Amino acid sequence: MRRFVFCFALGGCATLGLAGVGGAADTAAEALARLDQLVDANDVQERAIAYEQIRRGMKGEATTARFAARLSALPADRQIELLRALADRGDAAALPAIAKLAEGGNPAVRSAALHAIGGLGSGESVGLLVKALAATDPEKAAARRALVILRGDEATRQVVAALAGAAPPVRAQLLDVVADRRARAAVPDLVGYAVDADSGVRTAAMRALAKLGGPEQVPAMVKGVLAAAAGQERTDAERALVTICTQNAGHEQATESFLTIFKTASDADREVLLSPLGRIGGPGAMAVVDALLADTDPAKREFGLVALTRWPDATVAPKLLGMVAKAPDAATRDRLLGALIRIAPLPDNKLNDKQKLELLEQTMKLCEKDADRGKVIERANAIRTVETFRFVLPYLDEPSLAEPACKSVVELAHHQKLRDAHKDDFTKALDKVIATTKNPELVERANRYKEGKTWARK
Amino acid sequence: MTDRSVSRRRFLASTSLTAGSAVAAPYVITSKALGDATTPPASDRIVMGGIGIGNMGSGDQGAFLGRPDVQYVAVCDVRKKWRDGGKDRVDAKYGNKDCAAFVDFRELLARDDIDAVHIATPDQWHSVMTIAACLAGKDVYLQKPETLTLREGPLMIAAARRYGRVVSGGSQRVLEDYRTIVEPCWAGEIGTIRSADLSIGPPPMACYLPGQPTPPDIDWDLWLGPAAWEPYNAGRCDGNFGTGGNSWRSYIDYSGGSMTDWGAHNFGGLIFATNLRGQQPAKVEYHPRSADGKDGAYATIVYPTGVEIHCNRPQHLKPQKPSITHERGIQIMGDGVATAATPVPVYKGQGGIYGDFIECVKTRERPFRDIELAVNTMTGIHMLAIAQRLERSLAWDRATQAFTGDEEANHLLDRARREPWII
Amino acid sequence: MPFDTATLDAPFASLKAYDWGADASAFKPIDEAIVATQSDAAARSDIERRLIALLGPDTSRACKEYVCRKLALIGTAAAVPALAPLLVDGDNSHMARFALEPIPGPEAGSALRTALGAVGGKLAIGMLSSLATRRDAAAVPMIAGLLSAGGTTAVAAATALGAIQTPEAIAALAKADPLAGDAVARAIVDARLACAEGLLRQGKRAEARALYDQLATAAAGKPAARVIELAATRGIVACLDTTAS
Repeated sequence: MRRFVFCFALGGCATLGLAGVGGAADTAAEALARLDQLVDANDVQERAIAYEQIRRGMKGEATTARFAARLSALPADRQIELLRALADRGDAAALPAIAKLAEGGNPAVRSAALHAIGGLGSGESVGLLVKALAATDPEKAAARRALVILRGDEATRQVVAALAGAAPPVRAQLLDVVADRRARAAVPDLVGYAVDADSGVRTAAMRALAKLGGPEQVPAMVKGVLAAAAGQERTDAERALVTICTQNAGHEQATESFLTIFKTASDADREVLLSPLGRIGGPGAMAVVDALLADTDPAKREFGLVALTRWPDATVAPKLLGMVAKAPDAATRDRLLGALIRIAPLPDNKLNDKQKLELLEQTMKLCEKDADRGKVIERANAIRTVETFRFVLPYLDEPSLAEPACKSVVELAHHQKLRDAHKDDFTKALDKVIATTKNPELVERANRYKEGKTWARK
Repeated sequence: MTDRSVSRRRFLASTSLTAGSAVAAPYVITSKALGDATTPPASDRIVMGGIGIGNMGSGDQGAFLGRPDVQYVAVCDVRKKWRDGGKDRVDAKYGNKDCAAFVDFRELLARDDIDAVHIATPDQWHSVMTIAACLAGKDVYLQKPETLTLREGPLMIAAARRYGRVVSGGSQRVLEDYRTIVEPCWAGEIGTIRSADLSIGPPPMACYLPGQPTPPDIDWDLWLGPAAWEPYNAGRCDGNFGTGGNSWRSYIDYSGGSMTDWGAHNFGGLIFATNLRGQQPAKVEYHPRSADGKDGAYATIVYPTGVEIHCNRPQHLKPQKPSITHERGIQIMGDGVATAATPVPVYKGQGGIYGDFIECVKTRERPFRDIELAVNTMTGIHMLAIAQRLERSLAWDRATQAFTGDEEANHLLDRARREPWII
Repeated sequence: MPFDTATLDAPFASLKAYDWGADASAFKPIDEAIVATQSDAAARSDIERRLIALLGPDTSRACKEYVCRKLALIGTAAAVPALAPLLVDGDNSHMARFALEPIPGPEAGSALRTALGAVGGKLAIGMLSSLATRRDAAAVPMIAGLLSAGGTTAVAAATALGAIQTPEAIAALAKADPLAGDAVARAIVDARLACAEGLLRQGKRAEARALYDQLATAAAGKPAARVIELAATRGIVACLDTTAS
């Protein structure tokens, strides 16, 4: 093995030979000389001694300058090691030497240098790093990370200033950088990019606004949703808007702002905005939906149904249950049942565990197809109670529903407190799962839980 | 990386370093030495073994075994079922029967082809094994809670530093589960942090379980190790995650109970968010149950910078509008005057905390949960446990690693290890 | 109001009859009393006296174990005479140390040293472990003598000297050949490194440097001693860093 190669070379290693005996006045010089020798050593463990000191010891700019000056003459792999140590040292005195390597010829060295600049640099470093965003990984990733961790408001200002002139792919990355820097003060500068000509930029802008924005950004984000291309971009844009209206600070005002816009929007725009309306939920949105459901225009009733089936919590359960009974056709009925199955166990504190299970049991009674029943059984495992376990258990014996029942039993058994509190019952059920399921992962999990082991989700 | 382990292998060829018996183990040449498109050649892989392959250990084993830059060669467990299971997984992965299986960790540490070990034993073993591993030249991934007593931490750090070892603690949650409080705090959004509230679990129990016949598949004396001799009982040594009396995590000889088990995560996450990981507390203030009995006892961990962490403080005493909260019973108060952002430390390498450890084994840098940071975390929780046990406030001197002016509390800094274990 | 220790009569009676598996809740009041009497010296003394009384031959190992756990917290020199005989008893030696190790004052150290002279094998390692934790300077001559005992006892002796770190301990360690190539030599080197770290922490930079230099010189150029050379180099570099706090 190669690792033995150095054994013999080390015998005469100059770095560790006889100890120096200098007096106090020579201590610093001796220290630097030793570190120099260690940096040049062939053995990584010797070099690690030097790097540890460079990282955390030997305070002072003179030491920084000494080792920064050594960078240019080292081979590439050693440059990378020393760059990482100097970055951790945190002394900006190393920056000029590092900046040179960031524009040198070796891509791995450039990456390490860019990363180091992130830890040591300031606003002045932004230009260099933005330029590197146009490169490929790992340089691009290093530059992006560096832009995120650069310290100071001036760095943020420079990053924002770079947005305007950047090519779309770089601009999109810069928007993510602004978001990761949590630069809330820059939000007004971001909103325009929600309707950028480039879809990548639009998506990144919406992502950034979702992270940093508040009620004031709702009008711009609605425009972003409307500007998004149907499909994944639209879905992502909607998610961003919903985040602002349901999770961020000031989400109630954001919802109000959204509803105001919705009510005055054109029919075409309302059609697009129905989906986020349903996902935002709440009484204001419900009033809008109720009006749509009562409309004489079938198209508007369909809008209402779409919104209702995408509701974010279980407050619409009574309405949905009532509508299932009166569903005009099988397809509508399926959509309503699907919505009920989805919302019943949501962890939103709208229902307690008992109510959640009751809602699923009610839904189960309304199901006419095994496929729907299976969905109920599988969804039930989100309610981690012994009552759920008892609800699911009988379906292990129904061949057409056994597989979802097996999955739910195993998911419930994953929760050790629940499993241990009803150990014998779970053991029997897991035995039945092992004998029944055709899913090898469920068998493996069931066996682990029976043995008291855990299972790491992949 | 290739010259990584040269010297220690030379030196350790004929030595074993703990007070226990020295055991020479055969050198085993691993298979698949040449590597392929996705697997580095054997000479560039980190050669690993695992000690304690039960519940958590098997998970750690799986994480390391799945890495192309790791060659897993040995398992050690005092229980046959875990040992055999661990070996089977390795052999199945590599398609051979090469994985060595040991009952005694000293035999595994004596193998000079092993670069690093992961340890997931009950807590009474952590310090002994970590220190022994450092002496044996191994890097260590150590499951949390990393320490069982206050005296152990500095000795573990010293061993790691003395031999230039990478020793990572094992709470993956600290970085991964608390982002919603970590990011705004490090971004300076809530200003200078003044205080926090934390829900933390109870301390461990004394174990009074009766003896049972010792099954043949366990080396009971080695399972107990440095802990007091007690008769075998399945409930004493079961390796599940419970802390309610049906596992070793419940009992004071082997664990700090839920207080250190989840505390390593939850308290760890909080002091990471509040950037206190580099410090140790200055004191713990104990607040007894209120005279009217309405408020239960609670304690406040106070840091040298003045930050107070209230543990299980009654709800009505908490700020009604905290700056930020986390679903696991954490709320943090800042002064609201935004401060400069500081970059959040992250894992190195790829693959979460396991990847961080392996990357550091290669680069010799300190990992995200370096043993020193882990010990600082555990120190706060051990101080809390002792204050609660004694029902009084305690002051801590970091320099001497002792309580100030409280001889009785200092009785609890450590506990005598059962012979022949010594640190 | 002083604690009424008479309330503990029944719990102590239960404890006296205790063996593993019996109901332990009966002596929970003893645990509570230990906390409640932290400012009541008389009550504490009474509880300690009652605990000590249960260390004789008529109680079970389980009972003694419980008693030793409590004495580890509240024990004083008064408990030493009853604990000392247990140190040489294979079944109870560890728990006797469990109680004695944190008890301050010369009596506990003396008992451990006496026991170290009387036992061998694992029990001796136990005494060394406790003397190490106590950093018992008076034990150094005895412990130094065990460096030549070989095997695990010598390894433990080295570890103990590395914990005690007095000049005498350092001198004793210096007598051994650090490159003997066995586990004892390795433990001695480890102990010397620990001593050097202790000196450096105390600001005794030159003395620490001297220790590191000795090891570095001995190990220089010898592949088999590479770990020592590296560790000594770490130490030397640390000694040279005058900016360290």
